[in-house]
Amino acid sequence: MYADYVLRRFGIMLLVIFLAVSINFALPRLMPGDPIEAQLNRIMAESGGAVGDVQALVNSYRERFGLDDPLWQQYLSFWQAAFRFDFGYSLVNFPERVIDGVLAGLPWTLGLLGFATAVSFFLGTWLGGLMAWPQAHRFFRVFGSGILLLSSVPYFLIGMILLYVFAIVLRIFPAGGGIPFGVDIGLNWVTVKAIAWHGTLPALSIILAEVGAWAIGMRGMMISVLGEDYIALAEAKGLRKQRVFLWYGMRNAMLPQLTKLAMALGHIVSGAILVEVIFSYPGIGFRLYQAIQSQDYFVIQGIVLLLSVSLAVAMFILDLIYPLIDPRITAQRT
Amino acid sequence: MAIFAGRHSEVVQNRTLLAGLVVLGLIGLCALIGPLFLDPAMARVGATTPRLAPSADHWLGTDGQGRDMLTVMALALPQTLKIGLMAGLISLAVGVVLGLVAGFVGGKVDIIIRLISDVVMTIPGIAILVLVAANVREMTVELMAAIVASLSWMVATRTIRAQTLSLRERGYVHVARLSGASTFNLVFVEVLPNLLPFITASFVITVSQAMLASIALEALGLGPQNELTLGMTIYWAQFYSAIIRGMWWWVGPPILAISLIFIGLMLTSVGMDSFVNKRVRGGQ
Amino acid sequence: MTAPVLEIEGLNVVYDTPGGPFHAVRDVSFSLASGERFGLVGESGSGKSTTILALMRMLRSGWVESGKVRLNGRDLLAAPASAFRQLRFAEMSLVPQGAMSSLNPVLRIADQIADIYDDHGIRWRRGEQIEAMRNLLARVGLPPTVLGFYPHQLSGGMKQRVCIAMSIALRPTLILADEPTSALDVMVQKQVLATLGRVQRDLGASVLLIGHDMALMAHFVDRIGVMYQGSLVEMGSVRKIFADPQHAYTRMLIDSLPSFNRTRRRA
Repeated sequence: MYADYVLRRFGIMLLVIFLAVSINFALPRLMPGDPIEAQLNRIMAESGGAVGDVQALVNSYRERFGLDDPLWQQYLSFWQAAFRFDFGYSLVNFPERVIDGVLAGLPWTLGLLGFATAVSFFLGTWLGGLMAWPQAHRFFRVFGSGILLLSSVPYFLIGMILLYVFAIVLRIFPAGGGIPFGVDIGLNWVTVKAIAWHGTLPALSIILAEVGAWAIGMRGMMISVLGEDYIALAEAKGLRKQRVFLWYGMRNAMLPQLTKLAMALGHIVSGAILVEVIFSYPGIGFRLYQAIQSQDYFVIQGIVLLLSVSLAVAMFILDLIYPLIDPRITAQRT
Repeated sequence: MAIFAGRHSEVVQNRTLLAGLVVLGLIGLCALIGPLFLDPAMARVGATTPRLAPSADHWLGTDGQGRDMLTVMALALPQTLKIGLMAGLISLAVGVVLGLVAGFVGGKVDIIIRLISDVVMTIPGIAILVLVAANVREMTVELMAAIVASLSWMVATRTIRAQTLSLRERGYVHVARLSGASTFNLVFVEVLPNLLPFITASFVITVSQAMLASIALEALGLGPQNELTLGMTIYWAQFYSAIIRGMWWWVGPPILAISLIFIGLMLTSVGMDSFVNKRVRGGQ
Repeated sequence: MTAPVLEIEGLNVVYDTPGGPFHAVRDVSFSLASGERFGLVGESGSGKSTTILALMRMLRSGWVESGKVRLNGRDLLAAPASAFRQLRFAEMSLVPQGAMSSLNPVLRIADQIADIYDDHGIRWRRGEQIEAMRNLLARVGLPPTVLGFYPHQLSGGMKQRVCIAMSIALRPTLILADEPTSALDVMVQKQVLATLGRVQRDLGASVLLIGHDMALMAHFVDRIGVMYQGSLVEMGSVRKIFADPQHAYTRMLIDSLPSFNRTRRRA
């Protein structure tokens, strides 16, 4: 049972990776004309030819695509490059390799996303549990309904409002960036403070929008769990209500929340990309935006490929963990 | 007491549905009437003095390129709704057909359709959208709708498949089949009408997903550059740093409009969900 | 004769429904002597389960309209919430109806017994608690290994035994058993009921058993009360009820058990 499940999830992950790489290979070749050539020309025209070493650029481009090779050979070498995380060179900042730019943005995105997702997951789960708990204070139900409405609004719109109110009007938080110019990144208090300072508004935008989504799911699960016989027996046993809430209610209602985490990852990442754009946060999303602005095709391609593959892997890992947390499923793998 | 809880929540849920429909109705009304009263020329770049705060002449002010924001909003709203509705309809059609086929034919076809929908759900939609949009030369509203639709048909497929499977086992479908009804007849006369509530419910979810994806793409700068939509308005505002320059009237109206659309869609979806489930429970 | 463990006088319970208040229990009075087994029998909706829920203060959307309930001389309805929680399982415990689903699926059996002790302020020295729990399981005929199991690893009968073990963990004076065997098959029903009887005898506790199966009931209890549409229509010793039923509903219940009926009539 568990083995079947793992195999199926693993198969889907492989299929997604295969498709992601193949689509990345096929799309530019399917389009009429040669979009890359066209973009190169456009960039050269717009920048008045000051793109850097154009000849080197063109050479690397030819070599990368092996344009004289047959299609299947191009496909194979594309896979080889993908395995080596070699996405070619940036068209705009020519000597820079795409992978270097992506890697520079990765910690920022992972930090922001990881923090915001963890906080909103726990806050939302807790809030949703309380909203379903009859003995909880009324405040949670009223507050919860308000936050539920927010959950339908795209993250970056909330980000824009936060940016205007807290950075422009009130001037409490910085308007953008990940760290002020001149601060060297190191393991010290100044760095940590600066990063937290700059990350507050972007993280808050994601959290405000995401808490409601977790709360609404948890509330539904908790309502159905609270109707279970084991809750009635727990009350009859004379247990403290905190224990009934946490160990009998929450502990059971939380399991489906964790599967939803895997399904929500794509949505969260898509939303976070635009939050980074709004706050000029130096993560992958902002780099993607800049690449789209400057039509830096290889950077777009590299980021898209990296996003798809890492999301597929992350979802697979979450899918693996889930049965381990639920003893009912653990028992079935013999 | 269970009955009591049911009745009580029915009232609450119907109120939710009502609120959602009212919000959406008002937005739809604005989209229909707005363009009739305003001169589209005022939404062209350089039509009037740029960067004016709201006043009696320009109720919503003007943007950084001299467009009247009220006119921009009146023209952008219907376009955005058009993308959402078109994408919703396309993906609904795809989803319903695939769901029906998977549920009715079963076997290998079902396995393949489920696999595809699982895979597409795992692929981060925005990544593929960005890639496609980046490769398209000239983005239009129609193309936008088609691209977005290609990645939001899975909810409808799953719902319709599950319902078809359960309908197929019901008595009257069996009877119809035994009495020699053609598959066509079976699907369109016996099954499809019973799926209508689910189709309507998936439509709301699908429109909502499609709208979210299209606005995200537009805000990233991959939308139809020469058209006015809410997402493109956000994009230009961001492009010209409207917020940092304190021009709240440039971003405020599109943010409000988009938020209202999504809140309306969510209320409708939540209200409809319980409504549909109740009907089904009552019918069984 | 010692003072009764449980005294109920004129109990009335009302539920809120859309069609107005619904009288689920009407003017019910009975009492249980120390060590006595009393059975409440009736069809579903007769008010027997509601009576137990009212005793445990676990009514949802219903309330006690009037009446007196005394447990070991203490007025139960007047007890404040915190004191009432302490009293649950310590003085009055419950063996639930849904044996299959009454245990928390994500906690080991040991944890689900231990939390009864923890939340009633009982502290143990190292090792003593485990010993006590092993002893508890032994009394319901379960091996000590069960402590490390999750509920899904146990059969229905074993789960109900665990529930019985829990119900005597704090040595209560009264055990309420709400159709404890209804979810089990016939052979297991008898074994589980025998287990309940054994632990009750050892403990000297009283049992209030609820059920709809007149035959099963007759084997277990000393006295029977018959409930019908919220009222206690008849009450007496098992022998008296079977020999000379007064109420038409009681007669119907007995007549619906052909074999049982015949043997009793001949006796």
